[in-house]
Amino acid sequence: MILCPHCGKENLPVATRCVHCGEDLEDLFRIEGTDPDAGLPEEQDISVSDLLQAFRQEDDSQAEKPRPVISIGKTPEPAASEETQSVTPEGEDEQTPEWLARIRKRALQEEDAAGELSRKINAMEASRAEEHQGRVDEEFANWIARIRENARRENLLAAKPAEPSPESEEGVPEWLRKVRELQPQDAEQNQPSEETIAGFSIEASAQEAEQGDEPAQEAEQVDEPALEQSEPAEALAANPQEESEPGAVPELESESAELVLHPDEEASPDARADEEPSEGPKTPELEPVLEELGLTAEVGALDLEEKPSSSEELSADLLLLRKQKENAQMLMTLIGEEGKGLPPAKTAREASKGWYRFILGAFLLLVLAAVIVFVPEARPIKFENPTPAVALKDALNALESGDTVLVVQEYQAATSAEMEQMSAPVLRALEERGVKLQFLTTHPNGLWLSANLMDAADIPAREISYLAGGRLGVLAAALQLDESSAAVPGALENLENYTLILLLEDSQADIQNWIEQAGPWLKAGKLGILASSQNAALLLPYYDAGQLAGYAAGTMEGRVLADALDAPTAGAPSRAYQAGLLVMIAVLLLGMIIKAEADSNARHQKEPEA
Amino acid sequence: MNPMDIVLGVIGIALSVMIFSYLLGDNFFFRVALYILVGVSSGYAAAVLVLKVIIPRLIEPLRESGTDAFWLGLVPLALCLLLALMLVPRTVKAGTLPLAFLAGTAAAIGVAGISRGTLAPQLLAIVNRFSPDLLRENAVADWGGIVEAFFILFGVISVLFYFHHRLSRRSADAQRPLLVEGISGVGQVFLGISFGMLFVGFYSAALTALIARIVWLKEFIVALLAG
Repeated sequence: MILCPHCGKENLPVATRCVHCGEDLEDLFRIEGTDPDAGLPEEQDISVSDLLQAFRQEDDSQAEKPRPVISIGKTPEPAASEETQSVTPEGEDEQTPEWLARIRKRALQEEDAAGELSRKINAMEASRAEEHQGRVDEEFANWIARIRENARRENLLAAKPAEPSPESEEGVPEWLRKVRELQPQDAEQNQPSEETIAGFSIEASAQEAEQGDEPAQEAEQVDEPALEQSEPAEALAANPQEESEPGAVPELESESAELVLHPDEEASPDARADEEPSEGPKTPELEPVLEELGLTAEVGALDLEEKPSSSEELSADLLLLRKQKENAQMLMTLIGEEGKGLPPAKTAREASKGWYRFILGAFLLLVLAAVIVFVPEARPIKFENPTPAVALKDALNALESGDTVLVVQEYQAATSAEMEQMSAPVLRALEERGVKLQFLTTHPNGLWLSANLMDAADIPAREISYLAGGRLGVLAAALQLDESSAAVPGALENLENYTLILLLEDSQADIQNWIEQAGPWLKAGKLGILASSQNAALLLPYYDAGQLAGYAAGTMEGRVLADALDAPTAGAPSRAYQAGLLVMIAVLLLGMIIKAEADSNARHQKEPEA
Repeated sequence: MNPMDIVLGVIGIALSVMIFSYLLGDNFFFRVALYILVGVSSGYAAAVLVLKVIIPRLIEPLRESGTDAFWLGLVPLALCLLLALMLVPRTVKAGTLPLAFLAGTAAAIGVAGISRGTLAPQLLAIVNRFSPDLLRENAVADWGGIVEAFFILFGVISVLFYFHHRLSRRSADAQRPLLVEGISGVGQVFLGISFGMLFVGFYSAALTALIARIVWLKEFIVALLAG
């Protein structure tokens, strides 16, 4: 490529005119043997002629004639050179010796005919030009690296928006002042070490920077080791006292200082705000280069923040940031909850209610225990037989020897005491009468509770069948006409074959299952029920509707039934039962009185306010 | 008493005391006793279902290949496999088929049973209360039976009024007529009596169980002291 002497831009070697400015480039080829890439062809023309003149002067011993001054970077007067070049050869052709003619001829033909001196001068000029260009490139690369570094930090900081904290008069951010307030002594004690470590960081960074020709990408890679070296250090101070040591600050002070910036400062918007003018002042060495390049970027003074040197200060800094993050998270939660209903307020549970419950429960337990232990059992009172119990007694008395009764055991362990107390006398009476008893259960617990029941009834143990499926199983048992259904136990016959189906129940749902699923498929009077007292209210309508042969609910009716069957039972202590009922009645009355008193007080308190 | 009875008795006392500790509020010991009860009951129920249901009704029919029981046994097997697919989050929908089959069948049977076993017989019982044969006794009106029949009918109507107009009042804040308010109030009284009777029944059952447990503790301690 050749350079246009007018605009200085590159053109192809074969170009006759500059493609940029249109300048005629043919003059560049007037002298053969000159290197167009070496630049400054005018200088070479001058140098060749001067050298030839110098050779001739030496041969003619004309030392008094002054040599033309060869200046670097400056082109001599073209008119003078042309005049000298045009006059001298023509006037001296006849007197020129043969060796000089050969030299001249060779100088016109060969590239290096200008001689060693000219080549050295050209090489020196090229070297200086290259050095100058390299330094410019270096500064330019460093400047670009700084711009990239700042852009990268701004991108990182853009993901962490935070409120800018107010700065103090000295330009110290709010968060840093808080840290200093928390640990004022540590900050003062760390001051000397800050300078030392900061100086080390600067030197280390300067060494990194003095390597010179590394591109900007390599300068970024240097960041990590530089950060590692300077991590415990306080940041370079921004005050003039610390900047006033030019010896410690190399040429690329701004870049070096940026290398030691701690990442924690990047999280702070204040630190970023302080970093922005940290392009630094234009150092004297950088100024001409940048001006020559036309780059008037303001490299401001190093505005570096102090960095906490101890881990405690770092943690305090991080704690502040974490607190900001938590506040932001709480704010986001509040925004997310906006528009939604308020959560139900947790009513403060009065601790005294627990004590009331404990006192009442303990009182009931003590009364029952005292009655059971100390009060002798009285003879049971002869109650009038309830109509359903009488009906059940009649149905049981109608059974004869050889009849089969299906005993369906469907109660839980919690009510086993009550149910066994009611059922045992009935089963014992039926067993003594020669009635066949077959046991069935729909609850897994019934499998082991049946053994207790048979022991309590004092009857021989026998196998109990398990009917799975609940409501569906009951329906399947009721619809089993040919006794071939796989859904029911093999020992279970058609329900119509049983003379009576005696249900031992403590659950309303189980009672309804049998009444609703099996009852419609059975003849009237097939179902008899021994139930716990809690189901008494449920059974009466079914008995009135004729769906039950009879029932007895609770221990009192069970005892009446047993007496009617001439199968007396020891039963539960009736005194304790009566005492328990009295306690409950007393508690209910007491509660009603307290509630009425509380309501009355509340009304009286509201009336004056109204 | 043999040692095993003593050990079991001590365990029973400890569990009883842990349950009684609920008087002090929900506490660790009460929860432990409750967890033991639930865990033992669940384990026992699972063992019973395996031995009484799964093996005889699912496994054994499948061992008789080629029989009708074998082919019929494939149906519950397929339903079980579909149900087991609910364990995998991506195949949860496959398990809805047996569940839908089960729920639909149970609902249909329940509706049929309620209508045939409760509603129709109870309505017929109320209507039959007004049968001339029942209201006459020796060619003389049985006024007691008549009053009882009307009382039952009024109770049924008032309770139905209460439920129906309570729901309608929820939907719209319309002021109800005074007659409707009065009938609903009477229905509320009937409901209160019914709930009171239920409460007495529950309390009576719980009291009986508590007395039985105290009696057992007394007998165990007496037997332990007697050696």
